[in-house]
Amino acid sequence: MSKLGAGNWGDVCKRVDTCALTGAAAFVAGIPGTEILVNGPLWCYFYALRYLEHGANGMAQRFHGSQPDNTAVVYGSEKYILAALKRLQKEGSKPELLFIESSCSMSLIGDDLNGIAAKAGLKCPYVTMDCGGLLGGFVEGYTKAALCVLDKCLDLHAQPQERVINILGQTDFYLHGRDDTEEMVRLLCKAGYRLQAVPGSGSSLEQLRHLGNAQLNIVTNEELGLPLAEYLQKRCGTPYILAGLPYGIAGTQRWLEGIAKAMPAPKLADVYAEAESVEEYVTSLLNDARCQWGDLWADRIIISGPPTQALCLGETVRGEWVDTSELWVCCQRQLPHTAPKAYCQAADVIYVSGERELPWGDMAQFKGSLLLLGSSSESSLLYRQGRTDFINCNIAFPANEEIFLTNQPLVGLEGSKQLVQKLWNAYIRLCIQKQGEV
Amino acid sequence: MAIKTKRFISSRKSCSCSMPGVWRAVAYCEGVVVIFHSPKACAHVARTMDINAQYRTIADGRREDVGPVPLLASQLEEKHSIFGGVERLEACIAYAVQEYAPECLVIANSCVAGVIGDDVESVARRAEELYKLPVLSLDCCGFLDGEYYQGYYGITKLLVDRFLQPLPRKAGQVLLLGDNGGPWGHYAQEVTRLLNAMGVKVLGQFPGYMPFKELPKVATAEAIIVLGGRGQTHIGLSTIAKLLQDKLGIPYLAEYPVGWENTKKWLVDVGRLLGREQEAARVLAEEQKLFANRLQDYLKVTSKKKTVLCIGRLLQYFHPEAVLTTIRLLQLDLMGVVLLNAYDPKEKQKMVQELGKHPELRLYSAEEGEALLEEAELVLTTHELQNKQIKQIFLPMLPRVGTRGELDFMELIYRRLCSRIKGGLSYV
Amino acid sequence: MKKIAIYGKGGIGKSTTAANLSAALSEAGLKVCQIGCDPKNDSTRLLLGHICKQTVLDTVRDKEEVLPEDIVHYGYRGIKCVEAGGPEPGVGCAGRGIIVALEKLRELDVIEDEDVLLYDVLGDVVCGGFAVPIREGYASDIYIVSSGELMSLYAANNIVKGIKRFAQRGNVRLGGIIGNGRNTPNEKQLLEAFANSLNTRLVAFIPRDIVVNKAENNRQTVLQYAPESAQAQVYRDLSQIILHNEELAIPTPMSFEDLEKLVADYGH
Repeated sequence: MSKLGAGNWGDVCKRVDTCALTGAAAFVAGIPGTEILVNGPLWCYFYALRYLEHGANGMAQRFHGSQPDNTAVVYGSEKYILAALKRLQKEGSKPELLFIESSCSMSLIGDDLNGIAAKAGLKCPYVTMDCGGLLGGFVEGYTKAALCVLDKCLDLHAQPQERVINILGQTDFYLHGRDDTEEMVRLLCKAGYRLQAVPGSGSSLEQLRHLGNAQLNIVTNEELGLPLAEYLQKRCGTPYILAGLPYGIAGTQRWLEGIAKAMPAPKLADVYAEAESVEEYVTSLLNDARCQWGDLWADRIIISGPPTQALCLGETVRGEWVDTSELWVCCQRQLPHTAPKAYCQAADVIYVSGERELPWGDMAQFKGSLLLLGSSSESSLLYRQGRTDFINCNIAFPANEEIFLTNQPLVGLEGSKQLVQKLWNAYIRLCIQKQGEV
Repeated sequence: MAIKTKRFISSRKSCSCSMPGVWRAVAYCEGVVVIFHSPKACAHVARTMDINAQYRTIADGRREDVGPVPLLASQLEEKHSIFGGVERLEACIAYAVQEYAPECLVIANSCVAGVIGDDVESVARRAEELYKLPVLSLDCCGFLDGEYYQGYYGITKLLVDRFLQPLPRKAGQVLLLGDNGGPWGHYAQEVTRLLNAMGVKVLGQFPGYMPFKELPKVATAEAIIVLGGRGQTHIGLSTIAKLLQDKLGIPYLAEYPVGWENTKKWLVDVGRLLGREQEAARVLAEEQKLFANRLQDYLKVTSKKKTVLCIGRLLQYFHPEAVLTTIRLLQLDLMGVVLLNAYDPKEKQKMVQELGKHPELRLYSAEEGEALLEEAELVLTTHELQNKQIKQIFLPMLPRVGTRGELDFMELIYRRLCSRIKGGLSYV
Repeated sequence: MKKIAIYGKGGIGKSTTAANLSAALSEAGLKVCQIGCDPKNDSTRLLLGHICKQTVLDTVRDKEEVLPEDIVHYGYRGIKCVEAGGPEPGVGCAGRGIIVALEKLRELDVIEDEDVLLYDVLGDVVCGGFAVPIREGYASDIYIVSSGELMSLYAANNIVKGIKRFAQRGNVRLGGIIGNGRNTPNEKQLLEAFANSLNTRLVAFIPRDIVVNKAENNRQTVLQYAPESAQAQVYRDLSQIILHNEELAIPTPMSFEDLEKLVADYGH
């Protein structure tokens, strides 16, 4: 018998990460007009679909499955892929790009997706990729798909243009991902930059083709954006900056300053003026709230989410929004390059899934007030322990206890208002729920 | 134009995965640790199922007070698919033993492990010897050799074979066999309510919801009440019930109290099984009274309302009889039954044949059915339809059971017909 | 760049033929890269003078980051040698290994300015993994090494089935049969007839010669060990035929019964 492996085992029931199949589809689904065909077992397809449906409307019409029988592993999946492609053609599907990805078991048998797609005589451009859990989780799928798509469409002769930027590392399939993208684009354009594209979050294939027009690539979610930034640096010579995410008012200003150091922003003052106005507005309303409800305080704050998001949020939560004795930040995976502390000095403890697990099982013993910024995966663990007396605010999927119908960015100045409002309202509801307990 | 369903799910065999089935068979058995010999990502399906089930319980006003047992994944990566993943599994087992000190290990196999041909059974036998604890593994790899139920029943059978021995049985206590959302779910709750009303206690729910140490207690049940279902659920659970009967001498009832008629029959049969005919008759009378009162309230709204039934699910998973009875009891005007484009010809024929038992029914193809929907005030459907203008009620794979289950269904139909809001989908 | 793949039954002499071909092409002034697609790692042994110890898949398994210098080795006359590697017998999935190894090579851009790229592929086209070299973007000219023995011809016929599948939807073509003599009756004639039945031709017949064994025992190609020998000239001639071969075809596999009859007809 082997000795203990290199660790990283952990109880997967204390965390949640989807499959690379989902991540790859998420990148492509973030490009308007594209469609995706998954060549893999029904449940792999179905659970990916269920995840994607939370991030964008109408995914069932863009995300298809070949649904092979188990015999496909022995005899190949060609007939299932061809049947699925025929069905799509029959239904009048005319995507800007069709992305065909195989699950892990289908990738193992080595079916020639490119050859099969060619045989089907597709009228649209297509990209194929072996994918699935052997590749990894959401992040690995997203980044590999991004590079496959860029390999297919990138114009290597594009010339950098003045003050043009790309935002790398965004996805519509992180909670409020598209809203965050739109808020960052708004702020950057207001500061005087010109946007070329945001791969994976709303930019068209044509915009992606000319990613090389940018003078600077701004990496937001490092785990998603860094591989793209490195790729574009290699292929187009574009420099990049690891900017992180702009949470809070002061945090947004810091974020813009960092970018402006790499490439000056002619209208930065316009954003600062807006920030000042938002701050004045928020402060006056919060002072009023404090008069009624007291200070927003938590004995412990736990933030759990995708790594860049959790760390950047940690820095802002403690620095701008809520006072606390201890701040725990739990990254749902490792960052590819940056040390966590570089994004978040405010955290007392930083947990990284697979390296050091947050002791969720001990939460019942913790009697102090608690604020959780995470997902239903974490809140469900607390509910099971009988804890419902905490301030809860979802910042990541899954988010079973909330529905989202309006645009609700978490980043930037709009996001700052949004999150402060959410935190205070959750706190006020908790006060009402706990009345009479003292 | 044909009626379009929101999602295209092909009705073929072997479409789910056996690993979550293995997981559910022991997910709440304290003392067990489960290992998926798979890529890490496969575990997210089990985790997602857990979270969704927990929030459904919360929505029903109950709380899951027990958490699942640890679930590890051997976290197969690309290189393991080339060089074999056995060493990785061995390392994962070593970690599980050191970290959790389990009383029993259960290993589920993925399709990846199946394709690369890892000899998991040998690893399990060696681990048993080395760590002196039972290690169960199943020769069923992801979706390759079966589906969800092969995993679920395979492990259940191993539990029965290895850990259950005959014991003196105690009168007045029964064992619930099956899952359906566990002890917090509607099924177990309703069955427990009806049994308690007859003066019968539930000693536990097997498999999945009894601590490993308490498994021998299964043998003390006076009878087994199967939390049944359609298709493979029924076949699989009946097989396990028969196995328990043969091994432990415990009689069982494997009927499915879906719909009012089946519920009445179920009550009578439970009474007969436990020698409590009188108690059963008393409970039945009370339930009938409750049912009749509520039905009268609903009929004021439901009577003569134009209704369409859309079916796209295989007969083995969806028997239309219970829904047709509900439609009749509520006096809905069934304009027709639409067969959606989700069948292959053979399966469609089976459903047509079944519906043929009611010659008065008018059957329509998905193409013909589109016009019908325009007129309908309510559509009962096995598949979510794209048309957002119609009021849809989704008929689930696992309908609610017993008197309360039937009344909940009727209440939903009543409310949807009261609703002035156009369109929308409701789940039972 | 000429991209060639050599297939054939296990033990028929693919690697020996491939290594001697590479040596001959290099002698002709061409830049050559030979990629062994067999978990035994022995394709490039005669070029390197030893069994390749650092394969692509070993490196993928053992190192976080794979660099081109980890997996590219240089052998006789500077020929670039790469071994895909793979699992020990009885474990894992060798076919998957070929897929991963070739993708890794592509990702690392290790094949840049070669004139000839030669894939030496294990045994039969048993699964998708072993078919990767025939896929679009890898080899375009496929050669099958076979003797006149029935099972060797049977394997060759099976490989032809695989090639036909890919040829029908892409640019891959069968270049011909390379006869590797085993001194069976009427061997060359049988191979010619066999090739004709497959809609291709016998591009060369390599007679059995003890010098091949001697060179192998000295871990060398015939061209290095006995450059003046007649056998060395056979390989040189073959290399020129392959280099200039324009008779590339979509092959037509035979039925087993026809194959049996063919062998019986020539076997007397």
